[in-house]
Amino acid sequence: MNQALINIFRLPGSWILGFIMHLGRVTLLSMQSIYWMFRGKIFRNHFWQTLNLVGVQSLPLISFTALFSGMVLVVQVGNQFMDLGAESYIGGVVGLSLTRELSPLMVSIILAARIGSSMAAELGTMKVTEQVDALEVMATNPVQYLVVPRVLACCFFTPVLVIYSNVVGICGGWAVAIGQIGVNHSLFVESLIQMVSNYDFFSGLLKSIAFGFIVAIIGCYKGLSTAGGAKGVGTSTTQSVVIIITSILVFNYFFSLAFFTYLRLIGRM
Amino acid sequence: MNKPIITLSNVYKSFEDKHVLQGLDLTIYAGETFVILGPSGCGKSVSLKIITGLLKPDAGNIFVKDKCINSMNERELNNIRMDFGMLFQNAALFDSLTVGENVSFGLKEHGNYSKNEIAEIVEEKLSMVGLPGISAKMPSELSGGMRKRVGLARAIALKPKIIFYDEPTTGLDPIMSTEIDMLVLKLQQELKVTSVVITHDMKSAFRIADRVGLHYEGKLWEVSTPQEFQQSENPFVQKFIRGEPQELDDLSKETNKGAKK
Repeated sequence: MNQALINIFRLPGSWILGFIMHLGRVTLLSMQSIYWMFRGKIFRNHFWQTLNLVGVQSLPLISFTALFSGMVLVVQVGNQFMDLGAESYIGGVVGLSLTRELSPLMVSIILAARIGSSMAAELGTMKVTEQVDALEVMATNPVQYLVVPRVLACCFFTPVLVIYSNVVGICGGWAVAIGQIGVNHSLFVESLIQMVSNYDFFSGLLKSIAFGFIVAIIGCYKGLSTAGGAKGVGTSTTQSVVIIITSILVFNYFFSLAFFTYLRLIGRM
Repeated sequence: MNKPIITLSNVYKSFEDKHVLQGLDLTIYAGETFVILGPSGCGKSVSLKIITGLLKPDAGNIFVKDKCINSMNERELNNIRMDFGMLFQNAALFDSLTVGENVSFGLKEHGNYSKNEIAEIVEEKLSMVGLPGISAKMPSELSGGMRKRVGLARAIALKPKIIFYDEPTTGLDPIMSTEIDMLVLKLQQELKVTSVVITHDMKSAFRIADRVGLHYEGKLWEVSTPQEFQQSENPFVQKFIRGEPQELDDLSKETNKGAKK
């Protein structure tokens, strides 16, 4: 009877312990990365390579996604707002949705799939082929050499991609609003300017820096903790994408709560 | 005999319920080639990783040049590692870098050399391992034997005092294995380094070793010269030399009991 009871609690118990262990290790890796950002030299080659991967190579996919998200947003709200006589709000709604939530989330999820998985696979392969051990034996810190340039590149370029996504998304929304729904151009632009504040714009950018950090740190963590050959690399790659997207969604809720509830309340006091 | 350069004292290491090292004692003297023999999966590579600081022991002490490395911080450990060169089992070349960049990695990170000097040293080290003129190639373009030789060129680039070889001949044909052994001997003579070799290749071990030890059940057995090792009366050692798979476990236990009595 006692054994049966222990078995019931064993599985959830091991999940909780595993979660706490991984959380601790990711926190440690984050702290080490921040330490090496300010204490050691930055390996520029890796930084530029990651910047190219994060930035230049992600641009086509982000353009496509942002353009159609802006367009579909106007298709969804446009006709109903027109029926209600609220066409003067369409531009603002598109701008707010994109700057506050859609662009940071969309860009981060795309980066999770493209960059987080690629980091986990690359570092995982290096781990199982003893390249990470080789770095250590050659007196080179793997966090400094492999993780820091990737984290910096992601933190630096994710906000740039979010700005780009905002612009492309708003252009897509504007095109559908003007061309298909029949909204007046100046009304669209006016509501956009009136409703979207600097606070909305910068809160999205701040979130995206944190999301960039999450993408890189979890991708690198899963890579560096890979064990078990090719299968292990595959598992790490898949897990990295799942964990990054889940973490981003959870953190997004708390960021939104902080930016649009608590900080605003503090601002009004 | 020279003074000890590496000493392991009563070292224990376990992974969950697998006890890999169980009170390992080992002394390696400066300038010698010490070969650790043992069956696959017995913990030879773990010993090497513990000596190089890649793994921390659960108990026991590791001394390199009279300094205890298991209580060192990363900076102190890296200072010690500047004297290390290591050839990994599958060479562990950085596959995103060219052969030249691999060999020059340590020189760029820790040396103070100009570009021309680095190019010269890379070519010199590649020539030493018999592969001149391949610095522009990528590791993926090389055969297994070539990769190991490039790994060796990388290991000796910073003029180490101790070179570790993890299964240097595994996966190579007999001719290439002999060539790698000759290379180990050549480097030993030219660079006057201490070499620690891990292998289960008996021929290779007897060819290159000054002393041999048999690693089994977490300890070193029968540390002696290759000649003494081959003539050992220890039945476990004889079984291992002849490659007889059965009863290794029982024999090791019997020998253990005999030693305790």
